[in-house]
Amino acid sequence: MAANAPTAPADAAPTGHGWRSSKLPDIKLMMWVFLASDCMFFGSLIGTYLIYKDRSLVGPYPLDIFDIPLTTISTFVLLMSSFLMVIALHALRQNNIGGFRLWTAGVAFFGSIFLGFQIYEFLHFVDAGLSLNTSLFGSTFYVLTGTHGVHVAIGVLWLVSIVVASYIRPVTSEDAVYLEVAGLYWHFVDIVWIVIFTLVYLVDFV
Amino acid sequence: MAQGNGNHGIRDYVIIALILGVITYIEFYIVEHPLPWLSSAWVMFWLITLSIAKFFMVIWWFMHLKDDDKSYTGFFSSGMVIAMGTFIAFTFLMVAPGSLSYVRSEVAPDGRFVSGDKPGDYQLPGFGDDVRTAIDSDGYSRPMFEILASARPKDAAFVIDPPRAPDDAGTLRAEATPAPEDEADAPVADAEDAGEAGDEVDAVEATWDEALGADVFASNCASCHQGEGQGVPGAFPPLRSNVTDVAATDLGREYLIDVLLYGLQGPITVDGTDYDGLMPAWQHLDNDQIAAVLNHASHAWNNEDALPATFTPFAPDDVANQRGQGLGASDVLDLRARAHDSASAEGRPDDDVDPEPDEADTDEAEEPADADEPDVEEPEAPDATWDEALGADVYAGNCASCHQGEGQGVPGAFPPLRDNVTDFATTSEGRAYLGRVLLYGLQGPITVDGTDYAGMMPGMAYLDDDQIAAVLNHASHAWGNDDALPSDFAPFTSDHVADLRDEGLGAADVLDLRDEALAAPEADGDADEPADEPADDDADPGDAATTVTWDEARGADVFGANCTACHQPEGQGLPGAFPPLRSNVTDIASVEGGRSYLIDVLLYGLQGPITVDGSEYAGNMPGWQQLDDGEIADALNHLLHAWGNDDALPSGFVPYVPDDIADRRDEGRSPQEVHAVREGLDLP
Repeated sequence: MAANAPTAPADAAPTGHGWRSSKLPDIKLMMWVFLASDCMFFGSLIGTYLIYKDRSLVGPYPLDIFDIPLTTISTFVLLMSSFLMVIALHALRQNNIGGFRLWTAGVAFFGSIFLGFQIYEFLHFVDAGLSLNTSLFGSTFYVLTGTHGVHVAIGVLWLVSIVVASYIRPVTSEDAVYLEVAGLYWHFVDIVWIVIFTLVYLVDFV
Repeated sequence: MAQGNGNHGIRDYVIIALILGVITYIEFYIVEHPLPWLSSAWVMFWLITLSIAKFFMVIWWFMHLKDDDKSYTGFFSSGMVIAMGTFIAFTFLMVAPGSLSYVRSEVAPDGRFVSGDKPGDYQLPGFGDDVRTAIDSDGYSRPMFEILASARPKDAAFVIDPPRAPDDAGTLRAEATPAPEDEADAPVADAEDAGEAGDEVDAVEATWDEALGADVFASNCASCHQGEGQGVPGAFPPLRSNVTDVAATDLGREYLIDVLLYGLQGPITVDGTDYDGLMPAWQHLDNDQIAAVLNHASHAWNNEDALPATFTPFAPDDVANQRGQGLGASDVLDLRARAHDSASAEGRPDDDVDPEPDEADTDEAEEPADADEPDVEEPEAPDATWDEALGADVYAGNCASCHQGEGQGVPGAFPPLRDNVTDFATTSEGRAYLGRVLLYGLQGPITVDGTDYAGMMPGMAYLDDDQIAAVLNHASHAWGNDDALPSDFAPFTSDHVADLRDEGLGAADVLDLRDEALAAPEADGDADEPADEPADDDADPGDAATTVTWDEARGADVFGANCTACHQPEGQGLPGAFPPLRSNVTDIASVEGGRSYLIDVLLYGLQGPITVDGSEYAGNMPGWQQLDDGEIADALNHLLHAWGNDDALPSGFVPYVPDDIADRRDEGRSPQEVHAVREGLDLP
């Protein structure tokens, strides 16, 4: 049933089963509920980071090792990947399959660049003496940004698999809801980073 | 199709993406290039506003909640609301104001744990009295968040009140000033200016204002002399029998008042430990406050037991009489010698003090005067069984707050007391080392079981020999450690401890002994000595940039050992008490004469009022001539580069080298002259 999900879910979601009261596509509803719960997950992790901030007994401390220009660039990359995401969805809705593949692959590529920055950052921090066990800063920082990084990595794999699948089984604008759901996830990962970038990185330097 | 709105959609997306990019750049810019007209509070406001704006732009347009079914918005909003609620509840639980009263009694301003916590005199954050009592009753439970609440340098800023506003002290002092000039008038003058003075006149054994004394002590003294007056060995002397001995004579009483009014500068020895006296003057406190805090120090922590029965509390008049002499801090050092001579001439007050029965269970209630009672130690047979109850008790009262109830430690903060300890306990070098760690503390980087720790163990010389021996035996046997001990292990005895007591080591010296002690077990063929290698100590400082020619590790060490107690680990200072070391310092380094001025501040100290970032400070920095040229150079380089300061350094900045320091070492300036130099600098 979901395979025939239309591009305009609000208009014509399947209502084959009489007990259904919602005409919203299941998969999209499910994604929004998941994102709501993920809010709480990241809310707790960010809260933990902020509460334990400045309580580390040993360095390195945030001011010693954060590199704001570098993080700004990776933040910008992630924002632009969100932009490519909406372009890709737009292309698919227009039945522009070539554009859809190009832009979706672009999103995955930008996501990979972001992950590359994060891996570089982690290695640099470890080198500077900050490990998961060093201090409260180390524990809370790595768990928070690491969890976010895992979200990004899952998103990259998801988008790549969508592009690959489009070669195996031809897609049309009818399938746009699947890309839209992946896009919701991707944008969410982006807004989480918007919050982390401000609350974890920037405010330390004010 | 509602969303088939063609190219109009694309254009919107491009505009949104551009705005998002621009906002990110603005955030970056205002952080990296602080605008002079935008205060940091406003920067914070704009950062948060801009990120919220970005957040909603992405949700609204990119995730097209704008056009989509409203129930999606509802789902997501409820998730956001619950997340925010969780966050707020969490924040209240962890940083509720109640946690501060705990911090006040437990933690030095550098965030270090002060040992000797007494059950009941602190409050767990976020819990009522009933929960607090339940946790206290076994003496062991130390919830993680309690430790975290205490180890929080910035909270201490709330605890250490800035010195009293000059206004109220100033007016009171103005009224009191005539007193020293004309002693006959003094009682009258003081009786007028303070209500309590009246009480002092008619009752010789008058009660003093205990609350005021405790308050003044907590605000002004506890940051160095610690909450229980136990001091920090090698840095700040204790206020125990050394104070009550002196307080018993007239000369001694005047000396104590002088120390508070004029400070104390010069080498002193207290209970066999050397201190380089650096006490600042507290003339800005009024007579009532100084009298009350002297009475507090004479009576608190069971000191009153050591006071002679004839002791009369300090009165504000006594303080007024000592004002106006214009003594220097080093003049007071001479008075100290006189005061001590008179104290010994009158005979030392009775040291045989029994702790009050009702307080016998709190270890810090034990008078350090016990150290003068050799008879307690001698009856103990060298291979006797040890006092398990005492060991467990001392451990719970002094050690468990950091090393935890089961000796498991806190990874990265406080090392465990497991194999690493029993390995030491099996050789004579190791045993002596353990005793010294207890007596003198341990300062410097160590590695235990592969985890690095920045050693900051305080010395516990205020415990008596029996207590130290018992707690060492406890740590060697408890938690299954006894399985790792050889069968012929002889318990520590108080004699062992007594032999080590008068070596006068510093906490950093003990670190060197650690290396020697570690070498010993290997020589014994003790194979199970796992990762306890201090050799990897130098691994963590890590990436020394090749352009930097100074010793970053040493700079950080010197700074950590000497500067953080006041200026805080991240150089943030304590508002109103100790200035920060941030852009104010790099600004100084950038102006003409600033470079040598900074050297002078470290060599000769700084005395006089200064203003930093709009806050006023009383300027009581001591000189640090005891550090060598290289240490001072690296400490300066450290504070000019750390915490992002290097971004504000002028591009042509050349790191200090030891010769720079040596060149200025013989200038022989006074802290006041250094202050004058500061006035002459062309600071922005």
